[in-house]
Amino acid sequence: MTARLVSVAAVLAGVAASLALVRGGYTVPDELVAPTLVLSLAVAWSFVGVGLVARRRRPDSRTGVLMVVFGFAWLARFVVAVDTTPAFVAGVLLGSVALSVFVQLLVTFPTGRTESTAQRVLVGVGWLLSVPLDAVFLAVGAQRGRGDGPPPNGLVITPSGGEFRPDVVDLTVQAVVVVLLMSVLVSVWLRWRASGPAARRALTPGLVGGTIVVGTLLVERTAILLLLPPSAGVWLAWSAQVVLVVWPAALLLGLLRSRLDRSGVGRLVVELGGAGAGVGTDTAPEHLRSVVARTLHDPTVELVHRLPGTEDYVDPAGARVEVGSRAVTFLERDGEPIAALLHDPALTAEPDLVEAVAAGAGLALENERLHAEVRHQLREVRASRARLVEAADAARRRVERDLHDGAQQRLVAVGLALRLARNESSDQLDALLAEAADELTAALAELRELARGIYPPLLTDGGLAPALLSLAERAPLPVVLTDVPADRPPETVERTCYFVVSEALTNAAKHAAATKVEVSVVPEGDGLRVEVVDDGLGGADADGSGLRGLADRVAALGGSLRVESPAGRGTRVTASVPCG
Amino acid sequence: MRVIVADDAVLFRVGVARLLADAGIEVTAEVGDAEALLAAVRADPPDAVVVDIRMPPTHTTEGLDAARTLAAEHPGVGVLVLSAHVEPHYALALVESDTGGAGYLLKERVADVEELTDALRRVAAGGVVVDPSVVAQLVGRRRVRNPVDALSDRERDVLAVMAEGRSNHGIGERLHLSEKTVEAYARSAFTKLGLHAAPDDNRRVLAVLAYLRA
Repeated sequence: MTARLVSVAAVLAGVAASLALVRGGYTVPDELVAPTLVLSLAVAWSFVGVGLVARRRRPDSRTGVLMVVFGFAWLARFVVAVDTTPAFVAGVLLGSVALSVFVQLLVTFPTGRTESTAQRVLVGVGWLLSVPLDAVFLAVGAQRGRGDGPPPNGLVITPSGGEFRPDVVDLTVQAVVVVLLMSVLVSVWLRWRASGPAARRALTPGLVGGTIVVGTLLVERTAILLLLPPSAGVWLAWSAQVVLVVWPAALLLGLLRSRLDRSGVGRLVVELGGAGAGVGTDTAPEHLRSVVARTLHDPTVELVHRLPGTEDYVDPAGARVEVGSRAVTFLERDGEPIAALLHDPALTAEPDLVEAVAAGAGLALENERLHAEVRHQLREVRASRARLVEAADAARRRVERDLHDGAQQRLVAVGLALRLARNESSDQLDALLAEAADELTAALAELRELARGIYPPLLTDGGLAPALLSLAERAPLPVVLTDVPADRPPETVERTCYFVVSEALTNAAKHAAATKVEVSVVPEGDGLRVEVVDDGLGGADADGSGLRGLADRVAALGGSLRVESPAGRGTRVTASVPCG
Repeated sequence: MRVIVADDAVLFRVGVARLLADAGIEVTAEVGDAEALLAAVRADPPDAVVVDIRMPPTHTTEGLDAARTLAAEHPGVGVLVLSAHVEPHYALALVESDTGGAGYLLKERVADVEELTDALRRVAAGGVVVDPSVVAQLVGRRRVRNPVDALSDRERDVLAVMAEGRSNHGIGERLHLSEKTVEAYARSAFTKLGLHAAPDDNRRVLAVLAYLRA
């Protein structure tokens, strides 16, 4: 409805402008009337018409409104063609509004809103140079143009009289305009350079057109400053107007580019389902990413997947990724984020498009997410397997060393003592034999502890309760067993629970300087939860070899190990071990 | 005294039999596993048996299982289990299951033939024997509030030797005290720990062991 009113107003304004030019009272060379009218109406109606389309298609952007305003401002210049004093005053005042709107349009494209201080300064200067400056111009002495010959301000493009000499005021104003236009160009192309590919796609058509217009204007203005032949200025002014007719289409193209991309979403779905998608193969993640990147016109797009039950995201290779370093669109399933698209911040202005792409890629994403999860688990499993092998090797080395340094040495000593005994007299013999017996006793005790440390037979025979009690009895610090299940879980679970307690007790005694440890094993879900809490120094290193090995052992059964060890507040080792 | 020796390690078995024979004990049979032991006992019940805790087929606790069977079938036969493990759990399981004579000794004790024959005599007479290492582990356990700390050195010594299965007379001999003195220490230790005097020596041992395990 409003659009229709605006269209009617634009037509009426066009007719009024034509009448003003033809019947305004000034003499206009006949051969210039038609081209002037055609070009001016073309520029004005092009801006209003395309502006209305832009406003309807992109209501979030003010560019459409600015285009409509520009169209009317362009026609308003014709007021000056009416030969009365009020019309002259109004015409002069309105004459440069179009320039201010033009500056605002170009600087704020495509949102139509000023978003930075630089933009605000440029737009402000643009407006200061129109109405306020024109008012000064009127006051200082614009009268010279009135009444003789064609109307001023380049409404009708024609060579000025050969005797025209710009004065200081003219030169100053033109210089300021030139500086403003150059600043606009610089600002706009700086913005373009700083944009990502997706934003550039929207910016480029409008900026190229705007640059041509401004460039032409610049040369034209500089021509006046440089006192180039007036004919050059005429030619440039005509060109600028021709470009202005086409420019709204370029602006609209930029505004709608992302809209046009909607059709790309359909293509995306087809491509993802088609041959070459290779779901589940190594190339699938890159294929999915590249199709999404192509559809969003953002080659830097990254697809990351959430590890279930955590806040961590991983890339298709399974490596952790920090989200939040770029613009993020989360993909949710049942209200839970399952993945995220990391993309160009410019695309946040296009949430519909990003979501449409996400929905189109949804199935493939879910599939891909599962694969990423599996690959992540595989990496963990590989790492943990490597550590298990290492731990086993280390244990073997330790056993070998203990045997060498301990039991074996003692047995050698016994052999030596017995050999010596053969040659000795009886009283020395007694002493040597006693020594041999002592060595033997010590060797046996060491062997016993060694064997027990490698594997406690009581665990297999009696289960967790007696085995943990036995651990508690020989621990070098007080151990309180609060809860231990009487029934027996599977052997692997029993062993894992036992070694968790054993290792945690060793740590508490060796490193934590604890005075007391509490141990409990309680049912949890279909498994067991083991807790070992000491009152020691805390600060235990969960990645130390002992605890890391425990975590691997627990993880091998599908469980998890947690170590809380704040400095000065004891250590709590918790293992959840499923029985399934 | 007539004894059967059961151990799958031939050298060890023959050595023990030889030691016992030298000490004047009659070894009526030497067997290599629990099955053979039970058969031998059924055929000709001895006064006591010496049995290894680990024997074929699983090499875990066959000796304990055999002891349980013997306790049911032949309560009059004392069972001395030789073990490589300092595990109160096994010792208690043995003496609890056997109302007759039962003993749990570390294997290396056989080097002291007097200790071995003494233990055999005690189990043959229906008494209880618990290896000193096992008792030491129980008495030495670290606790947050250890009631054993309230005992005097003498009282603790008496309690430990008592837990090995000795009568007041035996304790007195070991610690070079008169039986009366032992009785007095035992009574004050029991009072401090809140234990009730048991009607016989075996139950007294069990009560002390159970108390120390708790």
